Amino acid sequence: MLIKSIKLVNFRQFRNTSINFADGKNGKNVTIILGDNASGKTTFAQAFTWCLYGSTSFMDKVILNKHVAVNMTPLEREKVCVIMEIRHGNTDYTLKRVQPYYKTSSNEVKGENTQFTIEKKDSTGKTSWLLESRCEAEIKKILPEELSHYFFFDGERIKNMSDAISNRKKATDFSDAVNNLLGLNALRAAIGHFNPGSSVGVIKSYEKVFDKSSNSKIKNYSERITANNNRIDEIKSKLAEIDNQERAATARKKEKSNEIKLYEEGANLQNQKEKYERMIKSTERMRANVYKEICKDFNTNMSSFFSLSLIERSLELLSRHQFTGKDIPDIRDRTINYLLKRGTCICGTHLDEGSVPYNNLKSLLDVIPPKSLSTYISEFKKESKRRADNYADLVEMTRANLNTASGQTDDITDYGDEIKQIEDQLSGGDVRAKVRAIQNEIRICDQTLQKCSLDRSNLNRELGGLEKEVKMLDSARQRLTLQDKQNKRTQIYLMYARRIYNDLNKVYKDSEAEIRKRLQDTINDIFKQIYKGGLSLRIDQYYRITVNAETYGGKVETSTAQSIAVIFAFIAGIIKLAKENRNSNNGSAKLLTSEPYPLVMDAPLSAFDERRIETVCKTLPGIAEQVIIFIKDTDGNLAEKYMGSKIGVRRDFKKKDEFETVLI
Amino acid sequence: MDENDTIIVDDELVKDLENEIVIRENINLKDKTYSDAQMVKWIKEKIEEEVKIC
Repeated sequence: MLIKSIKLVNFRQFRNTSINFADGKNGKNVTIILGDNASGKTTFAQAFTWCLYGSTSFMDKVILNKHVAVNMTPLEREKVCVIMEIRHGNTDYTLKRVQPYYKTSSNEVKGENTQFTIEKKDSTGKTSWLLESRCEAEIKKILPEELSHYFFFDGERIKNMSDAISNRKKATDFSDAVNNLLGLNALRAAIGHFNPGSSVGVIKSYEKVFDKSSNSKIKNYSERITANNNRIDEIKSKLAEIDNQERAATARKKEKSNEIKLYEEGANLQNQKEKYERMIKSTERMRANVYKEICKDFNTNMSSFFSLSLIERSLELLSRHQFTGKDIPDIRDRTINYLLKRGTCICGTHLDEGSVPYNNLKSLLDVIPPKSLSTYISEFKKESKRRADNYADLVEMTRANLNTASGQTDDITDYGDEIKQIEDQLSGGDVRAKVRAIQNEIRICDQTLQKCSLDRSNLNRELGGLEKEVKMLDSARQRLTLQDKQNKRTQIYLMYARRIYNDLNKVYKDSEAEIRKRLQDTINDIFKQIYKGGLSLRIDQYYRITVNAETYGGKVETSTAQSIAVIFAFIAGIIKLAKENRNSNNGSAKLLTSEPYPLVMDAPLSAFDERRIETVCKTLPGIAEQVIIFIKDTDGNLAEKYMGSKIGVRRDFKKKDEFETVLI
Repeated sequence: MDENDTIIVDDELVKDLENEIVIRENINLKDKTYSDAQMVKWIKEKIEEEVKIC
């Protein structure tokens, strides 16, 4: 498929724009379209895929030009239309996709179903139109959407493909592309039509036509052969399933084994973290006890503490007076009052009221209990001393306890810091649970692998027996069929069919391996031109691409530029091989021919430096039959410089306003 | 068939048949003229046309 022209009507900012592309005449196969950022390069590039497949990657699904949309009156209708002219094989196609829009009475622009039409003109000039229901299928034949990624790509698609390479996933996309583009699909289709496992295949249909009525033994042999073949098919299908399971389990085990290595160190860290957590709890408990002790001491000695200044002042005051020596031990007020009342002292002196002896005795009432001040003062002093001592103890104890608590707080902070550091290394979460889960997964993988191995061994043993038996039954049936003319004929056709089936299988395997090898070599040649450096590419049997350092000899992580260079090399490699097959004189290569395809690229060079832009620009036009590049002016100048002689068409986007761009 | 009545497969004929079949498959992948059942029929007719029964 080569693109002759495209016309855009009301397609986003393109109101009426068309362009004819360089198609290789006079050796000029490059069309270059330059534009500033946001001038519409990506939109224009998306018009191709919209026309072919009806899909775009725009967030806004209304693709009608905004000027047109705004000027529509309620209930008015407008259309978006993209028309592509392409050549595929010997047929010229005009593809037209139309999206009608109407404006509702509430001024809302609504889209209706797209209409897709295809006009075909064959080599004789005969024109025909495909039924609408056949159009999508026709495009699928020309270029299936899943393969279009290899020919219509932008920065994002390149990134997705390079991610697929980095992740070593989606290799089926690459293998399908190789099968499809390098003609291996024809071999696969032929093998499928012979497939003895298919009840409608060539081989089975011959086996069915043996005239079984001519000999009951033939019938018996045929039935046994069919039953055995059915079982063989089942076994082969199970073996393929086991291979897949084993491959998946091996890959999973490898992935998990690598993962667990990261977590094992984590498990140790987790243990340390928990140790610190325990230490924090224990220290916090001890600190709480210390605080409790401080509170208890304080509660006990609080009154002393707060009364101490008063006590000091009282003691100072008391020290100025003499209170001791005036009282009489063991004499109480009742004794004195008795003597005063009796009027006679113990010594016989008369105690007449108002006399000196009377007054002297009476004055004793002030210093003996219950009014004995010296006793009280003495007790007060004792108590004050005790309290002062307690105060000293309280301060000392509180200071010591606070020191202990402060030390414990420091310890807790230290442990917390350690935990924080560990958590940073662990990135949070308990990794041991993860380790256990991973180990469990590895165990399951091991069990799967063991089961696969055992099942394979049993199935292979059964398969060997069945194949031997089928061979024996087939020989026996062959001997009998040769006795009957009709059966003999069928037997001969069957022999040819089987031989062709086996040969095609072998050719497919050999071709696939050979193509993979050639593809690897071609890709490496191109990759080395684009990405100069000591790297090489390797394609494994599942079409997974690895980048290897030549001097180091191992796999290396790819940078964005490397990955994009790999994708360029891969696409260019496939196209180059397909082109070589087409131009080959070799019969078997001719069998693997496929169509030429264009490379439509939106800003493909942005990831590269000038040296690589130069190599890409010099390499791609030599490989692809048609190159259409949408590019920003700075890269475009370089592209023009290095593709100069190959550029057949050069156009510029001119942005009139936010909603309209024209091509000049 | 040889004198012992054993079936001999003609290698050249097999090669030619293989080429014709793959070319037809390749064309059919592009123009989808034949369905799978029609392709099987076409292949059988091709084999039966080319293989001479002695």
